[in-house]
Amino acid sequence: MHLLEVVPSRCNGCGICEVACSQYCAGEANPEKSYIRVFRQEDKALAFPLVVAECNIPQDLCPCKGNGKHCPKIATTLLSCPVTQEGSLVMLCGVDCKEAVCVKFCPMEAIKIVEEISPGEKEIGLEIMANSLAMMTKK
Amino acid sequence: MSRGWSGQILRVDLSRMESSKEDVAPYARAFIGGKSINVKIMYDETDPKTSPFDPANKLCFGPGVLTGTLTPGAARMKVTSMSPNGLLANSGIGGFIGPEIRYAGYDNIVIQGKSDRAVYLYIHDDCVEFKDASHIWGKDIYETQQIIRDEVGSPAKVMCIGPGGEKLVSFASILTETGNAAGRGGFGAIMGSKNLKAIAVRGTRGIKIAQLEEFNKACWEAHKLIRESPGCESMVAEGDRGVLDHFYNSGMFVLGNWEEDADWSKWGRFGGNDEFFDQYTAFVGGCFGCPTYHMNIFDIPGIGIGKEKCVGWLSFSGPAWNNDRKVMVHANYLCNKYGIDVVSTGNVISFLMELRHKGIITDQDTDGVPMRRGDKEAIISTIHKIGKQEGFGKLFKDGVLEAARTIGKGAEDCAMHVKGLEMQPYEVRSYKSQALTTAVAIRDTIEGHSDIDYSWIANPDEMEKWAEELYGSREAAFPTSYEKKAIMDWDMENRNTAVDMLGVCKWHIPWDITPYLQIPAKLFFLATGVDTSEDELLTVAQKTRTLERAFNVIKGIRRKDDTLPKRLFETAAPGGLFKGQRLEKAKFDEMLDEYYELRGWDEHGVPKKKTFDKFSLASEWKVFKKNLK
Repeated sequence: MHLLEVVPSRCNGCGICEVACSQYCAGEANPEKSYIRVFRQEDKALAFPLVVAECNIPQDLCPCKGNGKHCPKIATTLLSCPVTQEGSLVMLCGVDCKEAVCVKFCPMEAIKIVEEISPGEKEIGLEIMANSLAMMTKK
Repeated sequence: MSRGWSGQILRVDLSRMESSKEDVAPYARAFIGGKSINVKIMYDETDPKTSPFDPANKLCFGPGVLTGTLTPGAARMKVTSMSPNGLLANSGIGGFIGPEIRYAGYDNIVIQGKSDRAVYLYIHDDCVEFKDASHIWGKDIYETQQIIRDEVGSPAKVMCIGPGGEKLVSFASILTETGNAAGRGGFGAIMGSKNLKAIAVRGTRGIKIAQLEEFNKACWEAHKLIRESPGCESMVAEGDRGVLDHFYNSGMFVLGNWEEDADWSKWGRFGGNDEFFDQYTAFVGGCFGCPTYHMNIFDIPGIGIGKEKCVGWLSFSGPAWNNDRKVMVHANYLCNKYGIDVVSTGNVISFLMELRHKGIITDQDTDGVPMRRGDKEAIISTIHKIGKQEGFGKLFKDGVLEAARTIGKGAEDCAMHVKGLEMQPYEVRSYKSQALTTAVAIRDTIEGHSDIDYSWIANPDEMEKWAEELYGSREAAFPTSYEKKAIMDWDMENRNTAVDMLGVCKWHIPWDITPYLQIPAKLFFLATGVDTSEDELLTVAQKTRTLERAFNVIKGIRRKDDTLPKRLFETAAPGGLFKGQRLEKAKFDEMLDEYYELRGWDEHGVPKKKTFDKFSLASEWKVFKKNLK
């Protein structure tokens, strides 16, 4: 388990974190099975993703509301909302991954390990999540 | 074939609105993947009498065997079909669409037939839907992408055509949602002729790897190697910032339509590079899995948001006598919007400016728009006219050569094309290997592109070392030397094709990092479990090139077509680093002879029987012999 910090503005959307995670942690090259997801910021001209994160915040708590349809079903706990793209995001990865391969492979240093935590310390992560969520919602 | 390969080829028949799946194994054994399987299918299944816009012409999409895996730069896909000029050609496309096709479970997609109404395909894993596209026919690339993404309601990747492809412009392109293009070869028009507006793909099935743990380790080693290489560092630091300056400084830059009177003192100095990039860059990104994210996306008020890549900078700068970077970005943005190739469009603009300069056309011929050298309105108006197929834009529907024939009055001498396809603006009078590869290629310089001479100016020691190791001559790295250029082109075509079978970006290997293919060969082995050496990959590449050539020989291509516009043999480079350099016809012919010999083609450029035998192409030889009669 890793507590990860993601800096959305650094993400260039290459998706290497997804495929790395899926190959190391899900046994095949398949972003659909990755525990980290690249959210794509799409507008008229381009569709480069700007945010690396994934989210299983309950719909009623989600500050991005209408964008909930883009949030994939995941096994990881997101600690703040990717859609606002402000500041950095903290998230707790629920996968037992020794290397944090998303961090290792990201060429942009958009993902960092905040600290290593054991499953028993998950509560700490959840508390951070609650605080982050409260902050984001207040904004 | 359950490891490495996805296992299936998707066949789509638009006339019958049916799709089916075919085992990839029989193709993969002999042709590995990507481009090579495309070429094999085209060779076997397309009657040479078929015309490009006939429903029987096929359109093949081939991501490679490593596309979509953790291999660095595993984003590439080759599009292969009979081009609107009647020849078999290929065009590469990056972005995210290739990996998505692989995740959906397909190694290649082959489209045939013609729909009786406008449709788009929505492929999600096993399911293939034919969806009505009447409401998006006529929409530009950006609108089309948005509407389709909204309709399918999933994070699908989309490639589509714009008005250019719908109106069968011979150099129409296919573009992805990230602005990546299969630009050259006119495949947008082939899609248009089939009433196929777009292909949307969503894949969740993934790719199984034979030796996963070892493969993961090898991927990391490859990523590390690329990241730590000087080539990558400069690309990451500079992105495409340096492209235009590099071309200018290296003597590759072309001013005007390769015209003799080009005055370098006035055009070509591009000041304010950093200021421009700093002010207008909205985002620097890359394709799927790329460690060298180098694509600049600009946001310019009054123009829009769009990507500019190297060919855009090259095509709308010197060739259009233009120093204004905003105009270059605007021109590229509009070409993408209409779905027309930036290189061919830039070539057409140079052509028109030359004709006006020489008095062959007047402003009346261009709907009152003066085609003055460097005129901003001339550049932008030409793109609108071609994209919309209005006014003088209609003249260019079938390309610059056909337009020149229609205009007459000596305009044909100004049409800078090879085999009917508009040339890429490279100074081939100086760069001898580019001259040869442009002449022999089906489409343009990229097929045999080598960094050995292209990067010599920036990195002479390393490039000379590679040239010595590979071709036994340090001089082979000098751009202007004829020394060993035939073998270099032959070799680089093989290396480039080998990497195209794997679906990996060529910028890293064999261009920037190393020309050697041990790393791709090892990754291929670990992904598939099929032990394959660099030499074996290169042999399949040669086999592929033999079939490509055989197809086009059946279509009438011979030595007479493997040449360049006569201007390039009769005039010298008018300025720049290699000012005064000429391309000697006798020496060019010697290179061509040597190239044919290496390829196993006779003096007319026809593949010999023993070449078919060498690559175990017995049944293909029978077809070739029958069709040549």
